[in-house]
Amino acid sequence: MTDFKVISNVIKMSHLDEHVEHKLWKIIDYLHEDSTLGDIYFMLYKEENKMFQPNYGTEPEFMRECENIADNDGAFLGIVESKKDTFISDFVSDNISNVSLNRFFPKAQNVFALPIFNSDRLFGVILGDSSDDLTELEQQLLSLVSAEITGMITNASEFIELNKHIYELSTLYNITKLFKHKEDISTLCDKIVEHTSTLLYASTVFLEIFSPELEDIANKKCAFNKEKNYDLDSDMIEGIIEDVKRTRGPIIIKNALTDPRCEGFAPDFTTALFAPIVYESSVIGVVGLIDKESNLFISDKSFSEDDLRVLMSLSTQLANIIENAIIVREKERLLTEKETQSWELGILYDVSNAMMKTMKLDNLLHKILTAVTVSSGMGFNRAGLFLVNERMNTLQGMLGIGPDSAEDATRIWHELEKEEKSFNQWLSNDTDKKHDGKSKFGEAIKSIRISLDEEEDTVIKAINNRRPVICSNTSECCENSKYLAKLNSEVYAAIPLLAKDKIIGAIFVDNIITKAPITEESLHFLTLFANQAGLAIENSTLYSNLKKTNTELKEMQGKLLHNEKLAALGEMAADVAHEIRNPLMSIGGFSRRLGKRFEDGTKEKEYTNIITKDVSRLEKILNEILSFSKDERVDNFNMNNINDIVNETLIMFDNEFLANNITVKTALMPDLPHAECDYHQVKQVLVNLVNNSCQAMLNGGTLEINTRKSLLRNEESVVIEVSDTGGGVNNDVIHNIFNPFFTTKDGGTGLGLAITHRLIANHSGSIEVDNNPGIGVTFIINLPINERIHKQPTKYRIGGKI
Amino acid sequence: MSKNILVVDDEENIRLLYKEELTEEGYNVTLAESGFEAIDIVKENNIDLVVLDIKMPKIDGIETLRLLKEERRDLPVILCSAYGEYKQDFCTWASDAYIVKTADLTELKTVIKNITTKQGT
Ligand SMILES: Nc1ncnc2c1ncn2[C@@H]1O[C@H](COP(=O)(O)OP(=O)(O)OP(=O)(O)O)[C@@H](O)[C@H]1O
Ligand SMILES: [Mg+2]
Ligand SMILES: [Mg+2]
Repeated sequence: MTDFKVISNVIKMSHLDEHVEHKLWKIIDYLHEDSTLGDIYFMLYKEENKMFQPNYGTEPEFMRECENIADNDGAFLGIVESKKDTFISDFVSDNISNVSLNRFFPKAQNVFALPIFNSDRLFGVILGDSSDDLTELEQQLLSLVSAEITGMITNASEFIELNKHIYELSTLYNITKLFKHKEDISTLCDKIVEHTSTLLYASTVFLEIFSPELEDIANKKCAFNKEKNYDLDSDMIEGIIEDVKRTRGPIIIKNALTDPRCEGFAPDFTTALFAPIVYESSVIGVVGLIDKESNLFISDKSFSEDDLRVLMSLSTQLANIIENAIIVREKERLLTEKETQSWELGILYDVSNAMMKTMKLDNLLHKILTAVTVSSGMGFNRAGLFLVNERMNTLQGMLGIGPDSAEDATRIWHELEKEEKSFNQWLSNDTDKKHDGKSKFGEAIKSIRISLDEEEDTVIKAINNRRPVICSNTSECCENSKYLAKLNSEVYAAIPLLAKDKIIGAIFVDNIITKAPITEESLHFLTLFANQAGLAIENSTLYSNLKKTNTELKEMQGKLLHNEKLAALGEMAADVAHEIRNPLMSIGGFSRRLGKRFEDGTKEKEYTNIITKDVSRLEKILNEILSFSKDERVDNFNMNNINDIVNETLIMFDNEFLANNITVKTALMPDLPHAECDYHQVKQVLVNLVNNSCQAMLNGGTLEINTRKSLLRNEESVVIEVSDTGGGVNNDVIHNIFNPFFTTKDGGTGLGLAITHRLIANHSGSIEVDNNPGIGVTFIINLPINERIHKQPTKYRIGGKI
Repeated sequence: MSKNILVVDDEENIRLLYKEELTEEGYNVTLAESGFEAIDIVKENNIDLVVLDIKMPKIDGIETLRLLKEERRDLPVILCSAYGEYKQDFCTWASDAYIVKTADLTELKTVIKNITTKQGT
């Protein structure tokens, strides 16, 4: 064995791409065969129990019988302490101290022990004997082999250790990566359990979550088994989990057979590790590992502190994902809540806007049901509206919208879809009612009368309880209203219509075609809507009452005016004044003339002066008396928002627009500067212009009013444009339109534009006409913002009752 | 060239007063006692300005005003009435001025002067 060939072969073998253990065994076999050496053994050192464990030997028979040897046993103690290769010649005589080695080499004379060290860690020892004395060279050779083996094992263990770390890290990384996935948390838990099992060499990993915040994983239990199925529901495991919950700390069970926690049970595992998942200082789950898998370098079959560290960091991560999930859920819930809320608010806003503008009851009812049925609104298949008839003491069907059959529905919905109208457009349209009322459903609704005394009827019950109900033919809880039977609906809802606290009717909805369920949410929203609708209906009724009262008042007023006595009195006052003024004028006038003919200081002059003065006094008294009796108005210039005046004017014409089918468009500049003007005079201007436009568009058209900021004589001003599509003015007469009394209308006085012109002049403003004969006309009014700057000396101040 | 002024009033005394006072101011004054007469005169003569009463029998001043303006849109008309209330009536806005009758004719004279000097000759 002087050949260096040996060492080169050993080096070659140590670099084989094989399991380190196998390489070691191969080297031992090789040394045994290719040299003069006798049997060779490898004893693996177990630090945990301070024992040498027989691992491999060239004498298998012996290996089988060989027991573990304590590291303080005879020669082995020396090996552990010296950590040096030992060569013993004359082995037999040295028998006392070598008791332990004697067993291996009973007949040997030359024995060697080569400890395999990696820094402080002892992996094991190679023992061998030789019949001949080992030369120095041979000893050196063996030391070299031992060094090579040490290197090989160190490399391998470092590699494994490193790998393990890399693997640990990458597994942790992979687990964290899983967290970021938008996967549902339940599948995530399953994956984590599987990864953890590989990471920590656990034969089973289980996870239990008892967080009530996350419905879908509350009470989730999952486990990943590599080897065998443990009874995870056993009282013992449950007891341990309870302990973890209580102590909020981890539990390590190194040996179940001796562990006090497992006393009285027959544990089906040896070792286990449990860690709590803590979220907001309460334990929301437990993660556990059961039974460690062994391998060459981890022969210890119980979980270590390292494993616990990894498990704890995993449980923190788990707590994080659960927390994230809870937060994400909460966010999503808030978001959808907000979304529905803002959608609901939007609809309610549009609807109430539309409803408030609609004063005619039938138009209003139609709008209400449109909002309930169009797909951009609440999208119910059919809707019906009932109103309380107090006189008859009944609930009376007023209007129903909805298809009669599936074919009908497909056709209508298809048509509607083609029209692509927005919700707002649906609501603002008063004329398009082609899909309502005329259907059989509409007829059926209109024919329904339910006596308010029928307290057992579902609909009456709903309105009496002021609460919506969902009814189905099959449900026993509420009996189907027999009055609604002819509507053939399987499931429907009835929602009471309330105005403040008064019951005014009910809304009926169903989804007879699509069979979509009526959800609590939609019912809730419908109730909100019904409140609005109720108010609008009430308003409309109030409005028509108001209108009635108003006409009555007017009639009364007329009657009063025609009351002869009063009329006579009123006339008398004016007539008396007139009758007195004329003679006073002539008396006073002529006395002045007379006075001019007399010299100053004469008696005649003095007398005429007295007459003149007293006439003036009488005239003054007359003026004062008369000014008491009349409401003399003068200009009232204030800072006004022109947009307000425009809107107020348009409201006055609402019914006219409707009757003449006139579409009104406005583009009123927001933040329009206020202008110094007389509110009533500007309103009168607009009334005159809009009146003319209406009269020019008796067959319908578009009226457009715009306002904007502008300049007039280099000073800030406000422009109001009034355009119509009424055909404009004939070019022959366009120059006359501002003249008083010029009119082309039967019964027109021809004063509208003349007055308009005067009023604008009174504001130092300007008025222009953009006339397009055959198309329409635009009047452009420009009013200075600061009227006083421009105040031109106007000869005629205009006051008056406007 | 002195201006031709037509005075329309149903009361003789008043017509006389106007005539004397306005002639003294240097105007050629023509008199009419009704709206119809006034319209005829305006049609046939070169009248520069009309002083018009409102309360008159047959046709009143407002109707006369309307007919006069139909006849000659540019003809200035000053309404001169014992009715203070008419001052606030829309219809009177069609006139060029409204003056409440009084023994002191200074205001009327000023208004006439303003309008006629603006007309030029
Ligand atoms: N928007 C318009 N489109 C077409 N023609 C118009 C318009 N506005 C005014 N006109 C024409 O100008 C004329 C005068 O209008 P003005 O408002 O002064 O009097 P009127 O409307 O005839 O009577 P009223 O005194 O009742 O207003 C009208 O008769 C009409 O011929
Ligand atoms: Mg008009
Ligand atoms: Mg008179």
